[in-house]
Amino acid sequence: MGTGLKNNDPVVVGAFHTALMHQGLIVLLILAVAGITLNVLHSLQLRRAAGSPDDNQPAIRAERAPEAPSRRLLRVAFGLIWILDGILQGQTSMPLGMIPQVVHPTAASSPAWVQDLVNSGATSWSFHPVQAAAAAVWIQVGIGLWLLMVPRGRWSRLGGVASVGWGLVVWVFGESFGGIFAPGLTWLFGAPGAVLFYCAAGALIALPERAWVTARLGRNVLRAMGAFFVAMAVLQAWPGRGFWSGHSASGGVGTLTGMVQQMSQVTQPRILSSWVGSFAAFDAAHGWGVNLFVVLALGLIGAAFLSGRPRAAHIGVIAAVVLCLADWVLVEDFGFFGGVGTDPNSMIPMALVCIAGYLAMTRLPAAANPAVVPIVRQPTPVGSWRERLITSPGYAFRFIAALAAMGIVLVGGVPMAVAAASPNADPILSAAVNGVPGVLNYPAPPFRLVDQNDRPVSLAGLRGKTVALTFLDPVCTFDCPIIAQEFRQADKMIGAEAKRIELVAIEINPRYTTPNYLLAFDHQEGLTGLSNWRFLTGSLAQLRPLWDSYDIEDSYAPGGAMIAHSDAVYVIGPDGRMRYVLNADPGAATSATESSFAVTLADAITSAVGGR
Amino acid sequence: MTAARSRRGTISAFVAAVPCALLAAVGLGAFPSAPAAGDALLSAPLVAAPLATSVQSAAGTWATVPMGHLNQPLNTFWQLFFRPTGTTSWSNQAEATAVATNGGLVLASAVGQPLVAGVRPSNFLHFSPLIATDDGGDSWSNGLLPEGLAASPGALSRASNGQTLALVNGGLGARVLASTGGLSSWRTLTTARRLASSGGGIACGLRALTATAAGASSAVVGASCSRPGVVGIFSEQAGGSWRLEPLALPGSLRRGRVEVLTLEQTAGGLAALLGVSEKTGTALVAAWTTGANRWIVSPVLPLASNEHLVSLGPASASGLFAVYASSSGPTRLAVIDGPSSTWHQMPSPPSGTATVAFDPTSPSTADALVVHDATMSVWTLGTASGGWMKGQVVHVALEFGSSG
Repeated sequence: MGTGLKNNDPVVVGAFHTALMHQGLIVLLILAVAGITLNVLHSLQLRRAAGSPDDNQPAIRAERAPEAPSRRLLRVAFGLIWILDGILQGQTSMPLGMIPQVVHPTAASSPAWVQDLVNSGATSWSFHPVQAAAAAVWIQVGIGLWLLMVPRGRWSRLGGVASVGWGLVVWVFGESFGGIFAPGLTWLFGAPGAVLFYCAAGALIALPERAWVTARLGRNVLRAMGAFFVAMAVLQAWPGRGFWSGHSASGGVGTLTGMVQQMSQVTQPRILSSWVGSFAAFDAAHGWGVNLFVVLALGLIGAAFLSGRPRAAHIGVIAAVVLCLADWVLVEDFGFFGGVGTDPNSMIPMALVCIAGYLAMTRLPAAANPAVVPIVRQPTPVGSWRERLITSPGYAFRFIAALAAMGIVLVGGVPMAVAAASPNADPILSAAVNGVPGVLNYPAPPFRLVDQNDRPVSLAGLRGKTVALTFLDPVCTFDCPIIAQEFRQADKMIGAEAKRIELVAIEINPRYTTPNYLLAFDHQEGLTGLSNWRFLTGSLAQLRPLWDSYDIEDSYAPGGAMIAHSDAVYVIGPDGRMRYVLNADPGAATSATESSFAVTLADAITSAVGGR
Repeated sequence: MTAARSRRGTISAFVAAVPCALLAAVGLGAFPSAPAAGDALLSAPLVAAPLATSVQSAAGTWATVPMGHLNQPLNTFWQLFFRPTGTTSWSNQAEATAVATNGGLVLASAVGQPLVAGVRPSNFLHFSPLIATDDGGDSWSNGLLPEGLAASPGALSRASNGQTLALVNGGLGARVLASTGGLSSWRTLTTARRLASSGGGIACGLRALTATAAGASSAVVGASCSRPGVVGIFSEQAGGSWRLEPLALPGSLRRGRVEVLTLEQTAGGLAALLGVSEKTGTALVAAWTTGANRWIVSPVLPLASNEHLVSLGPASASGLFAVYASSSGPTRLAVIDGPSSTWHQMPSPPSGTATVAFDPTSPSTADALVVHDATMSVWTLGTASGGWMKGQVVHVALEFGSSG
């Protein structure tokens, strides 16, 4: 479902950087407009304060109680993590590397229904890699800024909801449900997926602020984490999963050792790979002891959280943070190296949720300040949102900041949504594989042959119609069937105009020149119902000069390979003159590159029909 | 109040625990337990019949072997080697196919007959081009099967009257086609579904069609049966019906499932090579008929549990050969000379032997075609030396990566 192109393909990478630059300029514009608006509102607020006749009715409203420390921790930390993720999504390898190197390997061991679901998302990304990668950058940066800049109120809670929504998209399509349906599920490697903790944090941020004024929320968060840790301990302890030994029964390495060895191969600073490699060696030698330690640690941390006692929770949080950090460094290998790392993996978010739960249980918001209206008893400041914009500086800032953040999310999301609405791939892929169509302007070499039904066809007889002409081998096993399907797709894209177009292929295999091979090919490719499709052949005496005049080379590839021939498509205008030549080599021939080439071909044909 | 809080806490912990328990259960459930032995036996293919083989034709001996990177289907290129009668030198005729041969070649011929070679489908090619020659490859004619040849060395056969039979598709979607003049016009003789629903098919518990041959007076189809001890050889009867041939295996094999690996028209009559799959391993049995409802069954050739077939085909006038090997042990060559013979082991051919070709004029001499990557070397078993001697070496300029 990828594109088959190299991650650093200069055409796609160039387009990605250009898109980021253009969208970055729009983001700067949004920020500038937000700043100016805030300045204007501030002036209005000051003017209103200066002109207020009644000292008892404050022109500028007082703020409510400070934000709960635990909520602030979640909001700021996950805001920063979303921004880091957004920056990681800006890596050069992302447009073309995300699907083959991140999404597919993650989904590969999951059940078929998970793979099908993930593939539906992967198709969208593969068809529009530039828009998708840029969207991921700006959506995540936007959500991060949203969480960071809007500390309280409904706009802040909405930021939490946005975090949950996008997090679920990433969890399902990017992380294949965190791999929970795949074999080898283990806490050590980040089950049940980093982004699920982003979602949890987002859900907590989205809670009404009154939820943070008692210890109950924190206790429940810790209990949930406690149950999670105990479940992970059971999973880790389960026999027969390869974690109890540094070596497998077949003489290979154990499950954990193998995983860590893989991580040490990722491109990264040598000192880090040396740490990870050393831990792999240690696990290979002491697999049983390592797993026993992990099982006990997870189980005890879980029990401490489940107890609901502050002292036990205090020790549990410290142990959880230490364990998470150790795992993050020695097993997850920080998570973001290698050019296609998309986030710092699960241990940091998991530790943050634990700490936030503990803080929510033990450090409640500051007691009511006489200058501050207690948030539980004080209803939301009255008045319309317009009035509040010019009476409450805090509200104005939150409102404008949230709108700006939403704008940044939309800068990435809208182009991707528009692109995804099209069933066809972006032509950038075709440009990367085949280059751009060459422009020609000379009379097309004439031909007079017979079609698959043995009826005579000549170029002169097709005058008045635009002809897309290629050369195909009816017994070819790879390129020709793909080119035929690209013709079919292009015909469909052209729609009603297709009646003014002839799709013509000329036989290129000198051994199989009779029409029955052409018909077999048409049946195989489902072309028999295409009224403007003609597959032409003739005697070798007719064909060879034609191949030469169209610069089509054929040769017997040695050793049982197909007839090697040039892959080219000529677009001939209604006046019989050559208009375009397209390199039709399908490359890796993924559905994305096929669709992209069909778009390019349809554009060239449409352009020739219009005489442009 | 405290009790109520405590109860609420317990409920919250329970509510939190449920998804976590589910997570752990899903994690554990993701590890499929090992399949029961019985299930594996039912779903596993019986005996994999290799396509590598050699056949005699009017002009000489033809052999097809896979070359290249044999663990990569798209970098495995099947070759078509030819040795003219009375010579010792092989030449490569794979170019004559003018098609990518990654899916394999199937050969059909017999002494005095032309060669017909079919190209099996691969990649996006779903039908099978055919080529034929009666002058040792000096000139070729073409044909076309509307569907893909089955992956069986017995999927193509040529009758002495010039009619060609072809087995296309696989499993229960298989069809047996008979040429109706030339190699591009075909009619359906029977289908796997039709045979499966016949009396003989029900008695056999037909799993798949595996081979076809022109018998003395009618077409014969080989099959894989799921009923133990039943041999799935069907012969065409007057009126278009099909009869399960009365072929009984030795008592020791009555509990094994039988697959017809190939059918060969030999000087001693129609020969069938049968693979019998039992819990203890695989055995080969040959059977001959002269068409008089009587089959002569050979003694059993047992294969070790770690051995697999490498090549099989016709040996001397009425004989059959089987090359088999294990990953660590020597390659072995067993030959049976005809209906009244027993299997005998020839000297072990060299490692990498893809097939052997017998000299029709001298049954005790044979060439082993030994393949390593893009090089095929010919080793000859001489009557004088009693061992294999390396001779000709053929390098094939394979274009790796050229098949997609």
